[in-house]
Amino acid sequence: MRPFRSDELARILLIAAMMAAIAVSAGQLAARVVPGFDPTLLAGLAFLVSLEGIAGDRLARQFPEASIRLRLHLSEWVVLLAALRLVISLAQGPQALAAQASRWLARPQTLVDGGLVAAGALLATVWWLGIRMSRCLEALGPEAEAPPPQESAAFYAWLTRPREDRPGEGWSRLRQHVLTGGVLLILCSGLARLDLQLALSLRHPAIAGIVGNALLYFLLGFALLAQGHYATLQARWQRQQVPVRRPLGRRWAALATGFALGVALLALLMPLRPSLALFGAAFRIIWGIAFLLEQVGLGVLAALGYLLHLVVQLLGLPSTGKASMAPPPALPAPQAHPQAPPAGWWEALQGLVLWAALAATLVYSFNRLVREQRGLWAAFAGRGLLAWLARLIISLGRWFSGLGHSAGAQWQSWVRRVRTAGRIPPTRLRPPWPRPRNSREHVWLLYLLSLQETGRLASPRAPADTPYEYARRAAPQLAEATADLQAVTEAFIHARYSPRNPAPGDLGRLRAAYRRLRQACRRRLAGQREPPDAEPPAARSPAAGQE
Amino acid sequence: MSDLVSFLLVLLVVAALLRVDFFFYLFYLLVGLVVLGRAWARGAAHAVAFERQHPGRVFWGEQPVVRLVLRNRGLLPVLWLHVHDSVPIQLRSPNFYQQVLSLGPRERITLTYRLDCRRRGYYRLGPLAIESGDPLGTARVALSDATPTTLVVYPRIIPLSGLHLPSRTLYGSLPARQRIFEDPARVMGMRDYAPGDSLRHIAWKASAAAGRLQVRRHEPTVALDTTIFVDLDRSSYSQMRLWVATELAIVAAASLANWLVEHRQAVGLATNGNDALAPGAAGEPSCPAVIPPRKGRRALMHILDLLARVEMADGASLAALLRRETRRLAWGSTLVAITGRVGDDLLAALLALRRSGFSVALISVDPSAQFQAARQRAAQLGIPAFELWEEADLEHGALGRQCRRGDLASRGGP
Repeated sequence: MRPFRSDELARILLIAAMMAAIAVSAGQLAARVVPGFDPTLLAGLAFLVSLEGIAGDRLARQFPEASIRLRLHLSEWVVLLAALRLVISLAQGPQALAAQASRWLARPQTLVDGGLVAAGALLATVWWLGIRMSRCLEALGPEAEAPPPQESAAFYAWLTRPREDRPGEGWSRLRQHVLTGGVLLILCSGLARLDLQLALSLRHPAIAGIVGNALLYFLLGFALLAQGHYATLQARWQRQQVPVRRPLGRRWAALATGFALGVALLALLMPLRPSLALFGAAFRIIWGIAFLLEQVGLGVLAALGYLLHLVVQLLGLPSTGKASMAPPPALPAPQAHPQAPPAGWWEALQGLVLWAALAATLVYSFNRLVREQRGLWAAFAGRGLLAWLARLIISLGRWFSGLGHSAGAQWQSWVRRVRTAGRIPPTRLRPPWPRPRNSREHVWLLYLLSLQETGRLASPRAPADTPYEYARRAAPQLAEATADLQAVTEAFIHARYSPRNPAPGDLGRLRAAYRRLRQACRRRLAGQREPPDAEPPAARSPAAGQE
Repeated sequence: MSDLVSFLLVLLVVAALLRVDFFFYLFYLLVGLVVLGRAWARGAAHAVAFERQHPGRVFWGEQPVVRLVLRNRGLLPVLWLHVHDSVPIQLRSPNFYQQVLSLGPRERITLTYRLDCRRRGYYRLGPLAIESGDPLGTARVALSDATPTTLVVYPRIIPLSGLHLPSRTLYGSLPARQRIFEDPARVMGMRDYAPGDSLRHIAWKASAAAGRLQVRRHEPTVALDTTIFVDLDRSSYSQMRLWVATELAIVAAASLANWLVEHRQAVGLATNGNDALAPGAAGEPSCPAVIPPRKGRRALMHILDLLARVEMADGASLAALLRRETRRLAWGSTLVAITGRVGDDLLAALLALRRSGFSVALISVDPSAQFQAARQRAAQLGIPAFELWEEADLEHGALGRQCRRGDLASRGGP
């Protein structure tokens, strides 16, 4: 199974590269605050985090249950933060890492520091931005649904399916995200190059030089927007069944690239210094006006203060101005940090427990991450360093997976021994990897899950049953959940045949209805399996009455 | 677009505030991408010339190919071009042709599609609309060719056989059944002299060879100087068969004209229907379309052109058309009136024409229950009347069969 189409993969790599460009600027800004900070490290991390975030988001959207999605993202972020901690420490050298490791062992709370928080916040930003961009591109793309065979009954349903046209909605959102990232980047880049006070005074000299990552970001952004526009048009043409002559896609890519490079060269011819001087003059004028207004304001305030002072004197009130002015308290002298006392056995136990919990969380998260995102790793399984890394991660994942499986088997055997009555194993439909479900498909899935639940309790739905017929047939066995089954059926009918997509609020209500239905089904099923507590006397001894 | 402008303003302010040269470069780059992209899209789209090539006239049942020639006259490539050509629904389903393509500098691309001409008419192809844009989607250019081209689909022509229309015009090229008028130019054989034979008909050489007097036998011939009158008045047809019957009338007229031209006869056409090309104010009935009798293929093409264009009209009776237009016709001409229902006024007009020296035939394409009575009455007046229900009647020689049954022979001669 191919995890991504080639054009999709190219777009995701573009997004990741753009996020890395933002991270370079943020890293440069951080390097001004924290000397010795390496911005390229952050850029590499941002690239990987964006890739992983997009893949993780696609995976999470496969599941209708919010709890599964939350668990997936939590495990993802635990691994990301652990990797970030390790990378930040490694960047300071092996000795620093060893020193920090001993400190972490002694005090696990020292794992979290300002650098980790700042880098984590940046990575969270690029993670979120990358996901948003990827979602917009998905919304722009052509329908990935393959038609069923023409001789099947599903073909007519597929042919007459409601098709929606969302002109420019996803496109404008993508543009907004690209521009938001651009604002972030130029602010970080600008602030990394000069002092804010000097910038506000407008007396600092102009800064020359090429901001390579900004150029890269905007060129990649242009390529992404051009690709997005092409995808929008392609989807429209597909819906309208307009034939497209073959070389259009290649020619589009070549012409857009050539156009961008041509404009980039043309922009080199534009003057920078005169425009700087012009803007400097304009800002001086504005600054002068602001200074004048400030002076006028101060004068008015002084006049008001003098008038107030006169009024106070006139009323004979005591002036408290001098009395209230107490001298500022002296700052305490900096004290030397006391040496930490040696940890006792209790602290050692606490640290051990904390570390065990952390290690278990880390192993579990890494295991899930590698297993569930194997499609992402498979995408890189070509040749070269990336392929080697992918193989390494996959093998690590397998090892952790084996570890997890053995631990899980032990745990399950222990649980089985404890529990007397067997419970119904939870059924989880494992959907295919590559495409996230849209809201319609979520409703369909919930309906199918509902059918699965009711099928165990009542008779399963026959192929000739319409949804309404089946709901009527199953209703007598689901006395308390009839309304929920009806709601799920109605939602399925709407999702299947209505031109409108289900609203997110409706999805939430539908999930709740499905949960209630599932609980009701399982309760009824458990009630059927339990042996009757007390049989009626007549049934127990038919001859009793005769006696 | 507003978010892009806002971003450019922010970039400009930040660039001016921070005095970073490269941000100005970025500003110029982004402005260039937007502005030049729009200029590119507009310039390239306006440089595209398009032309539609197709035969102007086609016969019924043909499938002509329409060629759309797109040519980029400029040096800028066209990034994408959505071509949409509208076509009448009678000629193609769906009633448009569309394609998306890209044009390089000075590139010429020919797109082709087929029409299925199964209905006669005078059609306008187009307009041709093209749409293009820039790589960022900030500009959308839509152009349209407002000069549609026309296509004439001739009505169906069914080959007729054994048709004998009445005629009073002598010395034509059609063999006649009655031997009253013999053409001395068309010798069909010899026989022995009988008393009473004209001396001018004696073949002296043959007599010398045979040893007894021989006279030439001449073929009896007539000429059909025919004018076909097609009734397209809406009130002459039943509502149920309105479209079918009027189209059948057109097909019958075209087939008759073709048969006559094939037999080297002069043929003309008059109709009270609306001609799309006839001068007249919109909404008003146009003047009756009349083509005087002429011989040859060119005359047939004129008639077929008119039959392709003509449409149903309101308020113009065939009887009035016959009275008005027969004044210009020569004595002895044959008039074929093709109509739906046969009324008393039409029979009266035909009788008057017959008495005036015209040979008259009547074809009803929407015969009602009263048609047999009308037919008998027409027979008493010496007017042959035929009925047609569908095109298959023409294919199977319904007109010829009715002639052979004696409908014409008994009443059609002079």
